[in-house]
Amino acid sequence: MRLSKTMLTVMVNPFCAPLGEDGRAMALVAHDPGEQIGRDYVGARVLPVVVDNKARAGNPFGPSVKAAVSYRVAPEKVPHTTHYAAQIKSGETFPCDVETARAAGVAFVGPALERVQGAASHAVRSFGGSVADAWAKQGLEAFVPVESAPAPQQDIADQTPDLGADKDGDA
Amino acid sequence: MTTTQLVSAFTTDDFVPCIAIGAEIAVQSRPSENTPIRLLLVALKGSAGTMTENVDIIGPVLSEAACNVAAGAPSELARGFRASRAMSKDVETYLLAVPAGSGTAATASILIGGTWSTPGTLVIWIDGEPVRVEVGAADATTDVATAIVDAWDLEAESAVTVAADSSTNTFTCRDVTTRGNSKILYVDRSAAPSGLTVSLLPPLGELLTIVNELRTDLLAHFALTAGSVHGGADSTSGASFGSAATSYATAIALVNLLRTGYAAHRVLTSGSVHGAADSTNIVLLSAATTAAEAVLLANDLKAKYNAHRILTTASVHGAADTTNVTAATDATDGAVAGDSDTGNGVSFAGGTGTESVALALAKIAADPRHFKRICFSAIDATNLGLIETFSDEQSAAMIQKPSAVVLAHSGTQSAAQAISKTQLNHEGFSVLWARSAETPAFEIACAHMTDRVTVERNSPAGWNQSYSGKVLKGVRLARSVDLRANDHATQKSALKNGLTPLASNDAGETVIVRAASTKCLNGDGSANYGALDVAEFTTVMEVCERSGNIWRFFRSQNPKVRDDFAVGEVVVSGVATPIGLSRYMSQGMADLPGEGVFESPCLVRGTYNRTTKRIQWTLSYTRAALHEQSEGIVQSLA
Repeated sequence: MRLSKTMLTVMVNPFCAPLGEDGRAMALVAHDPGEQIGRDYVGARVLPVVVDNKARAGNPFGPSVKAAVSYRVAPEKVPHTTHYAAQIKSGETFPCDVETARAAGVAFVGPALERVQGAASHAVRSFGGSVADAWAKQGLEAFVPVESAPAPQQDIADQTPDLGADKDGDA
Repeated sequence: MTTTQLVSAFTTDDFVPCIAIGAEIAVQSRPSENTPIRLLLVALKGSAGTMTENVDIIGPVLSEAACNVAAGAPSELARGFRASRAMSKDVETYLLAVPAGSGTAATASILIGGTWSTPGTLVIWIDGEPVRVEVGAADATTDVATAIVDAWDLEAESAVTVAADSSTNTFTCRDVTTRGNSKILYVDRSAAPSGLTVSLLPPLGELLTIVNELRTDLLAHFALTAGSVHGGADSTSGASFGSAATSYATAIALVNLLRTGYAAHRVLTSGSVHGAADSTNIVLLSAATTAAEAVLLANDLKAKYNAHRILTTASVHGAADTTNVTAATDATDGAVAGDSDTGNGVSFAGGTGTESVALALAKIAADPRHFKRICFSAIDATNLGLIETFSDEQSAAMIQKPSAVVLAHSGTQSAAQAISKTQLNHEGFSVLWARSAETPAFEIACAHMTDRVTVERNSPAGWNQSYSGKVLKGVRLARSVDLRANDHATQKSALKNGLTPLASNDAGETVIVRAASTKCLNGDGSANYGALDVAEFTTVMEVCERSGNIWRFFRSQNPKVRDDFAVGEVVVSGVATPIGLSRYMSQGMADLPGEGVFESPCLVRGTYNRTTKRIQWTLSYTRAALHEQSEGIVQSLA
């Protein structure tokens, strides 16, 4: 439900769900289906991976299809709806500015990218496997330093750098 | 000429004139029925349970008493069984226990405070179950803490234990698992004595992590002179920090020491520590007196310190300290929105440990029984990978023992669909989603799966049924209505991503919005909702099994096989042909349109492969669509 005509500036938290078996982030933060966003997920897109394992040979539902998630850890403008406000409250996205935090009813506790990095660190520690492998697979070494976090953009599909595992620049 | 002895009732010395007449009843011979739909629950057992983990598949379990003996009354497994029985006591249910992994049990703590002069009742809710604690008019806060322990001692089926330390109660999950972190503690003070307070303490683990990391980083930063960060080491500001914190009390004490030490260091210019005082990154919060204040102070201190350590303007530092970063996630208060009865609750936290279902899966695969419906308590990515591999192997053409799996998730939608879409995307799995539900996720899964068994075992009409709007008895959703998937947008989004959302109906009951499988993605990235309803998987698998049963019976009547007889050729009995099998199988499936499974009679096409000497057949059908949606116009005429 639209709460106002204002926009919120948020950044996806790829680490709001436990890491996958291989140490990759799997979180999918859904856009509000009531808004015409044109994309399914905040700061992420799904890359299908067909797993043609032997066990499913002849399965009427076809081969096993898995999803890998590619993230764009960058500010994204979204409408001010209950859906997006709830995501900020639950830590699925982080507010990129004081105004967004205030609109969502939470405190602004620092740059969003820094919070993503903190969440990444926590997720990797909780992962329990090889920390180095997990970081390498997620591509977190490619994160820009906090001090040079990109400014909020009107349209991330066109203007934001790709900071996640997806290196092909696709939106 | 020979005679045939029809009746042998006469003994050789029986000479009485009479007639002996036997009777033979014609027994209809037909294909076997599909194997019954059994329910298997796989979860952690309690220490008192007598069953052996990864070894015993016990059942059918006929009573809660029997379950309690085998699994232990307060165990995850026994609680799941009780949730199942709340839906129906007429389900063939089996139990398989898995050993807990190593780790730490999740905890939540409360602090009793205030003064009062009247008696009353405090109600503490965990797992959607209330425990009433009587409070006397003259009780001290420590008496209340003790009374809570005494009250809990009577709760033999509770999944948590409680201990008292002065006026603090700490509730600890019996099971060592990360799933314990999904539990929420609420306190209803509406009938409690006026003046009695109950503070929900923030998660201790998070607070300790950030406070202790701050202590380590601050000490290292104070001493850092390498790279000209400081002109000289600051050996005074951290001198009183002492040892790392281990409890709420020591965390509060330490964060206050850190606050004081940081404030002193920030402006220290003597000894050439800083080129100038840092007058920007000031911690304005006062010293903490409560755990909640300690959380805020630690988070603020982290932010200000991280800004200070890289400050090089005005020569505060000679160079940025990029080594001693406090990277700990901000501590939280653990609050979960509640309702007008309880206000906010607090999440359990600190639970670690994940069991492995690998040996349990091997046990199921080796069992001659076919467990068609399974609920697992494990929902972590590693175990789900194992379960999925097991499911695919059991569904393979040469094994044909497919299982439908129901899981439940009480986290955020993003976390839940990370499981349903990213991890699974599998037609045999359903993930029920009820964010911050009070009822534990495994119990929700057991309740729904029990309902499915009672419906789907009605072969064949039960194979193709809808669960939309079905009530899950005993399941309590989030206390806060705002956290429930009651709105159209959330339900739409969840179903698109392979989740089965739960919502509340007008009567306040918990209902299934629509029972969906997790299959939602094609190999090319496009959406695939061909197996959206769980009826799709059930129907396919049951029709497969029935067709197999028909072939087996047909083969028993026709032990030889060849291609179709040519026109004019003498037809030989006992010989299977493609057209013969096709007709027989079509007849065997003829009841399915009438039972609402097929839209119309199925089409069976058979051919004979001379090389392999096998009849190959294809059975094609269209499942009767479930009437889930409709459209209409209501016109008001002048």
